[in-house]
Amino acid sequence: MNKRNIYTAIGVALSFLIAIGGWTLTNALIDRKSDVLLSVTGITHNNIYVPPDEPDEDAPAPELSGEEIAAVLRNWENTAIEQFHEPFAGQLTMEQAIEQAKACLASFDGQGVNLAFMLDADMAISPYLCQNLPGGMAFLVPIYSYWTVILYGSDTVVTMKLNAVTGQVWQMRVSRLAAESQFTTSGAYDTLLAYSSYLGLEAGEDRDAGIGRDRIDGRHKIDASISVGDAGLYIWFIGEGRLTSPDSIYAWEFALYLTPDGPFSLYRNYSVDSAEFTS
Amino acid sequence: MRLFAKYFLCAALVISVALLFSGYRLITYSYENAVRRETERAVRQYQYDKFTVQAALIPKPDDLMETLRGLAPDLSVSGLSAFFAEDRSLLYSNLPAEPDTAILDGVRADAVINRIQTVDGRSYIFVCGQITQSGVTVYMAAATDMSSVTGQKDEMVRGFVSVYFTTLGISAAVILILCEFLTRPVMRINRAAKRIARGRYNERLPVSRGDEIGELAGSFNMMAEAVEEKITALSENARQKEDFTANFAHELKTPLTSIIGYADMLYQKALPPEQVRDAAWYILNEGLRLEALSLKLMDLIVLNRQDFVLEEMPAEELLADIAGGLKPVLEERKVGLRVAAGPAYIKADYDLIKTLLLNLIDNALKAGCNQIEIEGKVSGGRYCVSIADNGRGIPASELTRITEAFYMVDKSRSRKQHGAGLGLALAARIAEIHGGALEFASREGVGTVVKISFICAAGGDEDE
Repeated sequence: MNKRNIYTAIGVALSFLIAIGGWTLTNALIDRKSDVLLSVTGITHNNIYVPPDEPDEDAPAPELSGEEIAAVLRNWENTAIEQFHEPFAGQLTMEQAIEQAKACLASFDGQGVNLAFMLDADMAISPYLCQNLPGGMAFLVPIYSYWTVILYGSDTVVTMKLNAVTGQVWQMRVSRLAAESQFTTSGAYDTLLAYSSYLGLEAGEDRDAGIGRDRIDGRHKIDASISVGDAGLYIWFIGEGRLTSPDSIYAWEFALYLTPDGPFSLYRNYSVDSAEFTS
Repeated sequence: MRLFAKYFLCAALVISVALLFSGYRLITYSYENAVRRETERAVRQYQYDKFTVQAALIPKPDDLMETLRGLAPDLSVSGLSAFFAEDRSLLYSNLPAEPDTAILDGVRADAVINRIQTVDGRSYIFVCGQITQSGVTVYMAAATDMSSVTGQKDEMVRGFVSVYFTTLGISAAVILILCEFLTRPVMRINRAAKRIARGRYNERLPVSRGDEIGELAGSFNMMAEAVEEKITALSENARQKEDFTANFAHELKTPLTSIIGYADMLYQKALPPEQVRDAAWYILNEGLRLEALSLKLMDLIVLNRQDFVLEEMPAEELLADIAGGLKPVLEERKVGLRVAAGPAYIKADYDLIKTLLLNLIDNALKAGCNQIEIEGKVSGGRYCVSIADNGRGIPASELTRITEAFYMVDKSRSRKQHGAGLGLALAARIAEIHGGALEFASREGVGTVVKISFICAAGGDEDE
């Protein structure tokens, strides 16, 4: 009987030993793994896109077809991960991108929304170049990249998306916090014309100035649309004013989007945040 | 080792290994992913910061250091960075400790290096690269504090420890309870076995479940049943042997006492011829009894030790033959004999059957009958022979013991007739050899019927 009790005690003690010893060993293994992880060195290579041909730096910026623009814009709206990169051959440098952005602002001088004032003010500029890469794919051709240039004024922020190859501003969002400032329909229309002029587009005969105004919960929403040219490009403009409480500061915001080919009627009453493009 | 300890040891091993392995995999996988994500985030932030620095360098600032100092707090995830000149001399740093230029090892214009280093007990992800803009080249090392990641890992480890030991503790309690339930029926069987060992051979277990324990209980009951039967048979056997020896000694002693007594008398005294004759007669008589006893004992011994080969023989001829041999004796004693034997072939040993029938008839004669009937017929696949007499009969209370060796219903009468109490024992043994048993039916004052059945051989007719 004594022998059995001794063996029982040994068995129980062994069990505890296994439990505690096992934990100690596991802890040591985890620490070892941690040491290994914390000693890793990684290397990230820039510019892994290799163009098929040697690019000619003196060549003018290519003209893109409507289908190409549509494809690029569709990619820009994709919620995939933005991948920063250095300029590929044939793309704008940072200085060129900033210059192009400023040139776009200057084109609005005297027409519609006045943004040229920002060029005179002391503003901060934050530019970056990236491409949307859905699912971690390799880089696409250079036309899919865009420079995002953000200009910070005292009470205005302008965010512009420029195509990295053509340098054209294809998306722009202006946010302004200004007292006693109201965005009007006519201002919106003039801005639309100024933008089309900047893009080098001429208004066609089938202009449809369908303008509507809705008042919903203290917000003014202005929709305007215009079909431009034979290329089938539609410029779509939305202006939105918000009345915020309690100080009743009126803030306005407008966005300019270059839309691809598509039936005009689909975009008549559309909101900014849920733009959808079809080819 | 007690069963509980064995189970606990096995469970501790299995649960420990399983828990520790899964805990290790979970923690290291989670930690690895966290480090990788934090590194990717730091590298991405670095790439964004690089644009910011480049934008600041575009207007070719007069005071580069001032420009960098103004930028530093807004760079990297943690707001920590260091700048080095083209010759790798330190321009500016807001890192917690002065950085070693070794962190720039491997940095190229087209590649960004990321490495993890510990500074003042805290781990940082350093992302280092070369920035060139407007003719100015600087190296930037952005540091991201990953204390949150390592802290999270430590928290996971602490959480896992409590889960691990809690699980083991609960498992121990559960195992203890389970062992109690599992071993209870086994302990019950154990106690029953001990009771049987102490002599309670009628001990049995209730079988109320159909699992392995139920089967064990059933088998235990079967074993106990067999043990009880064996013990009973052995006890009976031992008792019979004891009785046999005692009876034998007694049967031996009684005639020897007479023989010695009379012989001593003849030796000691000069007796008249009449008394000498009487004494000689007693000595002769007792001597003859002893001889009969020894002969029957020899027969019994032979019967017990020998294997007999039974032969096929016609039953009616056998009975007729035996009856024919008895006729003179029976006629002399004025006892009638009727034999009615149906035809059949039986497997038997002639001499043994003769001995058996002679013993039964001898008993009938000693019972004082005047008519004996022997009948033989096939019944139920066997050949049944019955010997009926109209003697004094056997008391019912004696019927179970009359086939025991040396057992006599009326000892004094038997001894007068030179009986030793072995005749029916012999007959019973012969009946056993022939695959049957003696059946007695008797009524006092009416008579006795003894039946025995034999194996029918081929060619036997079935009567019933």
